[in-house]
Amino acid sequence: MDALVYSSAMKSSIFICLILSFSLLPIHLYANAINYLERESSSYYIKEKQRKRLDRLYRKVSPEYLKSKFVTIFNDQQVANCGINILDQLQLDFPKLYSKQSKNLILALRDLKIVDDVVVGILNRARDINSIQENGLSNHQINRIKNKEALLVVVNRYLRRIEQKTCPTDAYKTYVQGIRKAVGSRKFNRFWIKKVDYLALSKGILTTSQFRQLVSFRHAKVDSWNTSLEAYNNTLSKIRRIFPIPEGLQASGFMSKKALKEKRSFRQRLYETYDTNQIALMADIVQRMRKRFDSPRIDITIWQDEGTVAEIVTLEPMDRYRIILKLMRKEMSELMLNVFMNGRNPTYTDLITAAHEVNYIPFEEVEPLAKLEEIWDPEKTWWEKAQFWVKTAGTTAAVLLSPPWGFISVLGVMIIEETAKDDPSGYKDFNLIDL
Amino acid sequence: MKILIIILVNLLCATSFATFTVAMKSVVRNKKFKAKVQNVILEDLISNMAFDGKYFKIVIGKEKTPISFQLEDEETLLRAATVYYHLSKARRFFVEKLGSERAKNLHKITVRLNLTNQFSELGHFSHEKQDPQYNNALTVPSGQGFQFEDEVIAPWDSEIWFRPLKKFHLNEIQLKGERGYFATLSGFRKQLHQMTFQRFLTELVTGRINEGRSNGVESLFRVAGASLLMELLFRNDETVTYWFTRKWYYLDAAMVPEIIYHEYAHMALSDELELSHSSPVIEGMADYFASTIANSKVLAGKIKKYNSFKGKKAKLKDKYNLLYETSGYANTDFVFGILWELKEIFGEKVANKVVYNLRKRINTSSYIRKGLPQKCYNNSVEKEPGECSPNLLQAILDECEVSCSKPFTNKMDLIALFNKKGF
Repeated sequence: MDALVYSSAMKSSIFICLILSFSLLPIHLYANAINYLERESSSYYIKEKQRKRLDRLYRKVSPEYLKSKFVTIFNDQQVANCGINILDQLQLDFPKLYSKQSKNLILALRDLKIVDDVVVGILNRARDINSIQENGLSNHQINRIKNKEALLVVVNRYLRRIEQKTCPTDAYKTYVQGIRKAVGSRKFNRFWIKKVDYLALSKGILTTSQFRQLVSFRHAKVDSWNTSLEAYNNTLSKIRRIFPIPEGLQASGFMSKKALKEKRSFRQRLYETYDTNQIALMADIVQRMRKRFDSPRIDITIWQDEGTVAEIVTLEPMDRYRIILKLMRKEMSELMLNVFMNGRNPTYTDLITAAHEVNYIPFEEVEPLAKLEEIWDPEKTWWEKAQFWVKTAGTTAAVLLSPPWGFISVLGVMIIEETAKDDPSGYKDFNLIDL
Repeated sequence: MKILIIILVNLLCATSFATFTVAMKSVVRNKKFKAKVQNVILEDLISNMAFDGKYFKIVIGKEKTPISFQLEDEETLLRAATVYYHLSKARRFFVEKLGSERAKNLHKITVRLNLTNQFSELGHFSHEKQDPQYNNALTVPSGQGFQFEDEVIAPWDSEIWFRPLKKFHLNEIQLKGERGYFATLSGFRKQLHQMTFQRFLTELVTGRINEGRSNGVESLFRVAGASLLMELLFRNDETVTYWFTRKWYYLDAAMVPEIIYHEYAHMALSDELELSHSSPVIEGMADYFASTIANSKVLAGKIKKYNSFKGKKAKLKDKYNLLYETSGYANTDFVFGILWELKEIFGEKVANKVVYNLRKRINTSSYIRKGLPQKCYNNSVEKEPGECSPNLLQAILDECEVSCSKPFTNKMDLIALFNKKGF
């Protein structure tokens, strides 16, 4: 009997240990089939020109064959979490093709729906890491380095991580952080990284190939990359676990549009700037705003004293929508003070992207909600931007130019004033709420 | 005998419901929206001798008999044919495209041409000499008529009246300050005087007036002279206007297809929107249907010999101003413009349906945006009929909730539109 109980207890504890260790494992080791394209429909990277290139590639290698090779690569977790490893594998599998069409191979990954634009962006950055020839440091410069032991410890730590098969770019980020810590944030600048690289080489800690790799990472500024593939996969997996997406749900193409003044899409910007908690917080604001839009009526209650209502003012439709947007903007500013945001200041489009990502808003509502930003931040046309300068120059020219040329500048100023939009302040008194 | 009776009855029935079609000249628009006179087929006539149809009867002035096809006055014949043809077209639009029961079951409408009398709610027509009206068209509501001793005014159904054309010279119209370019001229004058003064100060400070006397002073005279010339033009702008702008103003409403559609639209919407008075919302809705039937975003543009009016444009970029709520501004393009833009949001078919159904949500006195009194939100307070009809913006949003295929998305587009329009 005791033996039976003991045996059962043993089995239970083994089972519990298995469960615990299972849950403690990094998520990427068992969440092997990340569906990258649940919330991305069209691609930011593939336009007409790229489509033609891909068609040429498919004429050389069939898309089915490419896809089968890609799937094999991404099934290997060790490879799939490191951009450099993926590229190395592509180079192994398609040696001739890779040398001339590495960019197109990466695009094909996206076109054949293996990865999304965020992964493509990471792979493109990894592809841009090249071997560089540079001017070395003199012995005198190396000898002048202080605190050599602490810095060499950082190098050794980096090498250990490389031995443990950590992705080299991820290990490099930790390497630079270690150097910064050892030197001190005040004194640290990028030249210190070069000094440490040469120090390690002079002490024989780094081999030539390791040293060359560090040099190329340094020139590619790998340490300042917004996100790594492993970090992205972790974030994406967590988000999908907390906010599962029903199968077959359509995604909005708006997320693949170019972010303002950046060379990436809105969705790329989201994942390269924010983590899981931050995305959830941002999406929450949009969810509240969305619910408020369904309200048929919004009142302002004016109390005479506790318990007695003096007056109720019911807002007109436009004032209703403006107050909802105003509330949203207030919450957006307060979000910046949230400790989880780490001082980041999200834009309105970031909020919309986050809400779409966690499926708080369906795909058809994304663009109309995003366009609401026009209400408080209208886009200026080229002419509106130019008006300020033309008016300034025209007013000065009117004084300096002799007649009849001065009249021309006066005419120019006149045209500006006639075509300039009416001063909106005249209309503001009609509105109870203004943005 | 029985068979004979049956045959006679059938013959009578057939003849009493017999309709005729007649080919006549009418003013129409071609594909490029230019007006021209061409032969058209007038349908649903119950007489082959006069403008008397199943749905419309065209008469002159206060008469009761329809205009005969044999009338010698060719211009009146052209007017009558134009009116009959376009009214039939408008009726078909409302019945077939919008499924309007009101248009389908309307009484036969009497259409009066060349009528100068003002409308009287009591007596039908005001006295001829009381402020005769020209260059206009209107839809009048039905009346009960009255009897006073021997005086009997028979009741009448709602009618459409077209005023005759009368040319007014610019001199007869006081337009100072209302001319659009006057504001521009005024602005230019101000800028020029400012520039002159700045220049004078600059030259004074830099001492150029004293040194090189011929250069400095000569320049000053030139600049001052320009200012004087500007002032002369400004003070005599009426003379300038007279010589450089159009001089004659007139409108032969019965010859402009869009005006005919506009008047019919009032009739078709009158099941919910009373024909009591003109308001910006009602006029805007009638303009919308007129332009939809005409298939053009420019309403009643110039038709050379019949109309010197520039027309209404759906795409004008005017922003909301409180003045647009007043009856004096009822005939501006503003409401027309808002409703026209609904087509871009909803598509033509849904937009037509939405605008048509708006008539159930508003009344003749509805504002464009003004809110409702607080009692409208209190169920326990009694309200007058129609007192709590929402304004146009709210009505459009409410109707979209019901008629739009994607209510939330479309409402966001509406908000963006209303914001663009200055709301």
